Amino acid sequence: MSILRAVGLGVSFKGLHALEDVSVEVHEDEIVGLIGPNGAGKSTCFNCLTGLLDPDTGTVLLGEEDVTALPPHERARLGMGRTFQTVQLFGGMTVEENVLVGSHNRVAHGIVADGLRLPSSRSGERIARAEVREILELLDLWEERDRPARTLPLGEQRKVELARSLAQHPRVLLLDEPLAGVSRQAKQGTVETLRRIRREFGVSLLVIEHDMRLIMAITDFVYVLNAGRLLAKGTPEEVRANREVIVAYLGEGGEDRSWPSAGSRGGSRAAAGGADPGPRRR
Amino acid sequence: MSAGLRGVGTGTEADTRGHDEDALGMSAPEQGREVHGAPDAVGVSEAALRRGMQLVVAGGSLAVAVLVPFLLPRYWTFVLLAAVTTMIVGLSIVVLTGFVGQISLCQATFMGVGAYASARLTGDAHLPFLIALPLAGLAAVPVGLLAGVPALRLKGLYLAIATLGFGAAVQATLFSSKTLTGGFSGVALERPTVFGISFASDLRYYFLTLVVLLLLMAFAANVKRGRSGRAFAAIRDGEVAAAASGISLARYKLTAFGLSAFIAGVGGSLFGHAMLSVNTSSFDIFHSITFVTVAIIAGVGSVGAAVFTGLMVNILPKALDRVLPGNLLLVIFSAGMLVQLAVAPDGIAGQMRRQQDAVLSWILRRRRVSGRD
Repeated sequence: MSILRAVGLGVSFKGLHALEDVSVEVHEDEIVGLIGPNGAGKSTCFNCLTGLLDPDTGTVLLGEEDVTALPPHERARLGMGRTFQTVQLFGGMTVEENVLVGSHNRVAHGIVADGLRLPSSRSGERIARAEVREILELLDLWEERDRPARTLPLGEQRKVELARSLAQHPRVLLLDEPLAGVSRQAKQGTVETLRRIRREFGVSLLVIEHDMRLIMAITDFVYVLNAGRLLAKGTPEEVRANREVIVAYLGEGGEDRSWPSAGSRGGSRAAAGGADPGPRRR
Repeated sequence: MSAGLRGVGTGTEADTRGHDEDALGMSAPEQGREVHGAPDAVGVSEAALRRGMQLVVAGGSLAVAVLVPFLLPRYWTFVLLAAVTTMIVGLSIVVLTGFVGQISLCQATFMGVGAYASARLTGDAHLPFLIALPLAGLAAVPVGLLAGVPALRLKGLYLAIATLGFGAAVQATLFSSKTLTGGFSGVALERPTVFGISFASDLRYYFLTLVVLLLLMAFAANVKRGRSGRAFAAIRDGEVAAAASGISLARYKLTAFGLSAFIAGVGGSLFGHAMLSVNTSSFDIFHSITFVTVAIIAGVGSVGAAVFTGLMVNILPKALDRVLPGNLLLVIFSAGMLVQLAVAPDGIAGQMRRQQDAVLSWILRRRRVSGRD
């Protein structure tokens, strides 16, 4: 059964088509990849799915529910979590507080209960902290919980952001380049982590990633965007063998060259540069 | 009264671990934390030391607040009283600007609503003061929500201008209306009587306002540490990520404006009963501008910073007045404020926190050395 489904998404900025008739679907317990050259519209697609951007056409369904008209926080409340391409942590907070923000809708007491320390506030706080502790321990962040989040290295910050979105206990998690800025050694750890959170949290994942090794290693299904259009879709193996995809990534004549592997992102980016009419990210 | 005051102090201390520490200028990352740091040579963790130090500073400040009216000439009691009401307004700015990163140039308007409401409730409706006071704060809440509506679309300077316009509009209509608020002649308020005890004297009324200030500070500190406080801080630090985490920006921005207006309304009510009468000019927009300017220089990063706002608005000028002529004083005062802001963008409270940290690390260093010997 599908957890997240977008049908016929279309967005244009000042007459420029950033997305045209894009449909994607994430099923229960699935890890789905969203790939494509820079400027292909991947992040624009994410922004439409999460509600940061109103698409000109198309609908977004979360489970059975049409969420196209809902603002981001409503979609989050209904089970959609996300991370950002550039990490967006709350700079003034510790690691633990950042993740506690994610658990906002796990409890419901209001500001008066907080201010007067009513029982509902105390018990809510206990519940939230216990859940957050579990997630922090799972991601090996518990020891760092009192550190100001901004003092962590980038790879760790990505983990905190992941922890924060997990604290929402989402049904589907949208990850925008979870490996960007993560050291080579840490990448394998991230791959393991993503597998584990699918297993232990029963959450489906939609992942934007340039690192083809990650895409090949963990996805069940892949969508390829190019210039705002869906270029191909299928299992990782099918997509990998698709001639159009190879051309889009490596340019004409690229068939002879090998598929870009981990660490050759710069190369694939440069190759994609020529066929990149997409607009700037918001 | 001072016995009652002590009772409140210890009671809240026991109930809400940490809020008293916050009252003296702690920032979010340091507060409400378990003691888990590695114990040093003497067996006391840094966190425990830090908490001890905060308690000393908080207790010391409270002791000063209780003793100072007895040590200074009687004229000062009224100045102190006015300062405490300003501290409450400072707290309302801490909540809005410090917690959520929003700005309002109509805090005096919220005060005015509180003061006029209190005049009506105690004077015309003959309600007991203890009931009228929170109602006066509640009366300011819808006005605060209205003033907060522009915050859903505007930020920074534009929001400041919108709230300034709102304040000016309320002053030109509501606060100038002869029928509603008495216009230029204003309304009279009396010093309250609570449970048969008269708070007519400056001294007694000073202690009453001090208790209200402490209660409001405890409330604000509790909010800051809880779910709502984190939602506020998330909006302040990053609206997009806050919304993606499921926080309704509109709801919490309006909540902040409502809470801020409540606190300022209570402050306005206490101010009105302190001054014995208020009129159109008591709550004009220049007061709002002064409050926000001074609050930002004093620091809005912590609940305790509100204290400095009152000290700077009411006490510093009066204290310097004795040694310097008025005009020169104003120039020096303003220049000093600019220098202060350049030196410490997070305000005087932030500066003091850093000095406190410096003292703390000095103590820790010494203890480590002595522990090794």
